[in-house]
Amino acid sequence: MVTIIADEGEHQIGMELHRGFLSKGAQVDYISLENIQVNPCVSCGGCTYITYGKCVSRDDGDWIYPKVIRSDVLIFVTPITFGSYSFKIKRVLDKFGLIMDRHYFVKNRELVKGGMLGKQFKFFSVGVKENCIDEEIEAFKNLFHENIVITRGAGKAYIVDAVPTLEEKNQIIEEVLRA
Amino acid sequence: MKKILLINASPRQKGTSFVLAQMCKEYLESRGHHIKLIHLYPSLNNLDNLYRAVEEADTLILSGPCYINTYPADTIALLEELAARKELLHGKSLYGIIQGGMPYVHTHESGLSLLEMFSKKCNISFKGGFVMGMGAILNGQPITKLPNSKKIIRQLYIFFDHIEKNEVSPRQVYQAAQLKMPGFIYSIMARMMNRTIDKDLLKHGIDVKQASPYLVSTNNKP
Repeated sequence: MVTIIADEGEHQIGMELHRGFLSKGAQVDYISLENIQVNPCVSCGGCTYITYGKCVSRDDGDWIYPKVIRSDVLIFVTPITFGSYSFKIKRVLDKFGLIMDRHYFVKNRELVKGGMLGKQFKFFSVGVKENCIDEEIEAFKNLFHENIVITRGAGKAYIVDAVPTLEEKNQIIEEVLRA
Repeated sequence: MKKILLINASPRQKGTSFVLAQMCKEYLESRGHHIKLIHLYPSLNNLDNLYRAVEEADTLILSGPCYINTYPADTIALLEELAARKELLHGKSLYGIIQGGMPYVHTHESGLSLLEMFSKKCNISFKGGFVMGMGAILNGQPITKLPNSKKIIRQLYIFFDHIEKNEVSPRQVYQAAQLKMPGFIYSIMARMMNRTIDKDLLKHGIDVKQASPYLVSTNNKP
């Protein structure tokens, strides 16, 4: 199962990718963060000591995180915001620690975290350029690279215009399905 | 005398981001500057006081934790709000402090890039920052509890001194504070920390191998 989590902004790139996956007969789920409420992580420790593995705050995370856990591959669609993920995507990402393996590993002679419980964390990020300066693209790619390192993950970051070409979308879809 | 605004971008008001902000505040106050410290999270519902403080300050310093390689979501939201009010930012300098669990600076450095990109787009002057690893094990205790605390404190004061002189603080300042250890030490550390995690969970009666409550509680729903 591929799960797309999209902060679409003024575009519909996540939705277009969703349609593309469906047309290839792939199993795919689409989550738009429009009108979604995921409360901030306040580092309260509740996901360890009160409800282990679950946030104590009741919001749309209640149905988003189960879908994340069940997915084989995730795709984040985000407007590049100061070279980072958008606020809405980051609210969802900030709580990923509570569904992931909390143990430490060593990879490439450095400490890293465990990734998804019992499987490799496979994820792709599609950064949408909206009034972006060139350095933001570099910053976004660096951030994604660090995400891969710390989660022992596998995946790739794509940078697309507000209106990506059919070739670009097909490339993303094909590479995700091969992951 | 400069007016300096310190923003604690951590949801925790007495955590390590605050400890670092407080050290910075004390240093700059001892040099005769006027410092204001505001906690972001209690202000989230109404940022008016924060906007006023931003407008009054010559220098802004943002201190926060590293969540998944950069500042938390609500820092991004704050920067977006400020970018929509560029008139408040005119002529200011910005510095960042970011601290996270991993001992390496590269893990957390994207946080400083976030502030740098924000500054470029808002036409203000980003003057560098300080990245500190192993903040999580401190949990709000003084920096002296860290194994490399002497180095960190020395380098922090160099950083604070750059702020006091309104100078750019180069990357080397915090890089020099990074704990450097041979690879095999990390394997030992990983084993020790994992044992600590498992012991702590066991003590609280938590089975590490239990299925995710997210899957259990939604199994019966369509």
